[in-house]
Amino acid sequence: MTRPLLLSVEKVTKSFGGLIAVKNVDFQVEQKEIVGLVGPNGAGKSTLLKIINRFYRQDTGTIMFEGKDISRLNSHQVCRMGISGTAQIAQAFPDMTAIENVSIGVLFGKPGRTSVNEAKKKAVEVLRFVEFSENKMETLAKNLNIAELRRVQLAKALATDPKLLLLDEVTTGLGHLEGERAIEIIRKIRLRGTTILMVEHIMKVIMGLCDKVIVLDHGEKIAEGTPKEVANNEAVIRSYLGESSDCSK
Amino acid sequence: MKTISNLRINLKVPRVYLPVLLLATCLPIPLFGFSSFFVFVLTVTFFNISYSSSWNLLAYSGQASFGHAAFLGIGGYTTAIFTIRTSIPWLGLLLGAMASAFAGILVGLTCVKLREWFLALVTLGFSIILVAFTRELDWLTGGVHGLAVPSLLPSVNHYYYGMLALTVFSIFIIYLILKSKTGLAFAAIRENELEAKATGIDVVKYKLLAFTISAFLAGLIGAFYAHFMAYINDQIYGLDYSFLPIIISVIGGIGTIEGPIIGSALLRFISEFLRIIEPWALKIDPVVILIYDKIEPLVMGVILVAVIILMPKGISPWLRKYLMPKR
Repeated sequence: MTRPLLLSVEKVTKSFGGLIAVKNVDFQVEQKEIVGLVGPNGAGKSTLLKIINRFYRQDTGTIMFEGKDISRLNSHQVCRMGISGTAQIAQAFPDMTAIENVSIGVLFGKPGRTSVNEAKKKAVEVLRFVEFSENKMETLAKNLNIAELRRVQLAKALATDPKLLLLDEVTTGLGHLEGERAIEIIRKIRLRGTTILMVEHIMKVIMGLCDKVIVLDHGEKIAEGTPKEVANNEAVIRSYLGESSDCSK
Repeated sequence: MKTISNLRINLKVPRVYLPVLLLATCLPIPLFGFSSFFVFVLTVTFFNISYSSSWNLLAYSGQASFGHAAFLGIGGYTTAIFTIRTSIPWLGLLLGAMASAFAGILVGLTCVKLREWFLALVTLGFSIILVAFTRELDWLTGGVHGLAVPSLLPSVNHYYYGMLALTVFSIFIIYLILKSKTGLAFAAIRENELEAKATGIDVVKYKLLAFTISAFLAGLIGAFYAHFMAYINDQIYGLDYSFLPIIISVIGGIGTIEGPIIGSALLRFISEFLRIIEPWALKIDPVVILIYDKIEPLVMGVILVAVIILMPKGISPWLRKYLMPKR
């Protein structure tokens, strides 16, 4: 099953001062695929996502999206091209209502002109899609709890009609039940045909959702494959659990 | 379940009707035969309102200018020089506004990558550079002596209406911008610049736009003010004029449409009140005359500090918090 290529990351390296966060990483995301990016803390997962959405500039390497080189573009440009996502720390425009937050995505996140009123109607639709509670639509983002904020953020990303959705630890900070519901929503997004690249440290989430998993450790790709393959991979087990010799002791 | 139509979808932009109505009530004042001094004072108040509003628009986009007087002065000097040299009336206002907008683009270009204090310092530096230029180029600007600016209108009453019209115009333009898509972009950049970028907003473009519009309005107002005062010198670039809109907006409410009106009215009221009670104060103790001119800045300072501590967002948001239902 070869699907058309959506994103291709080629030999990307990024260092902060002396610390190499991402080292020579290659991988591809095909259309309509859900790809999981896993690895221990500090493995460079979030950095990699931030390079793809252009928050950071890579030191070397190229990133191709739909056959176009996006290595030199800015965040707002790649967003309009169809790459959009949520950050690990739920961010929003605190002094705006949930609807206003999402309508920013509708208005600016994609090409074409929309009136402010249409954008707000669309925002309500998207908020409903992520099952945001009806009576909080007009609540200021700063008065929302973390689970609600994550939904606003997800809705904001979806409102830009992304071709590639980047999700950075959507379940972090959520309770068990909230986490389960977040996963349900991701399944729903997948049914719409959106390609997803997600960072997650809870293996269960990755196992249940992803078509392909990429494992990073110390900034390097150590494994790639179906969730099953990866779970049985020696190198992965070692990086997660430590040396096998340690385990036997 | 609520439907979209009964969800109250409106922007969090202050209603413009109230300020405009308030200003409209000022329409008949000169007809009542008040002293021309009173009309003059009100005209200056309108100037404060419109000038502060232009600063406030920039603040709305998350950028603080500490040298907004630069735009005021560029507008004023442009119209002064143009009107003196060509004797063409009125056109100078537009030229002043455009020159100021152009300067706004230049300052904006250096500033869009800077934040907060750095941005503020660059704008302050710009206004100081202009003082130096104005003093040195005395063949053009009259140097330290300044320029007598030809009058456009016959009486203070006419200027009163002119300034009132300009104030309503500025407020209305700002209102239209704030409730548009552009206004949402400004607010988003102010709230969270990184997130704004990630949501597809061209931050540099919108920051520049805010600078340009704000400078255009300040230049227009400065130009009219120069004609009204009939005189301009390098003091127009001074700290007094740069801090005026900041103090007014901080007291009234940064980023609100009605903030500059409340702030200007309060400052004016206090300063007039102090003037009125001066004779009584002197009766109590004539020595007061030695310090009386220091009392006004002192009172203003106390009020500024009190507002910042008690209502950090300014009077208008504080009032709204108590008068309007919570969201």
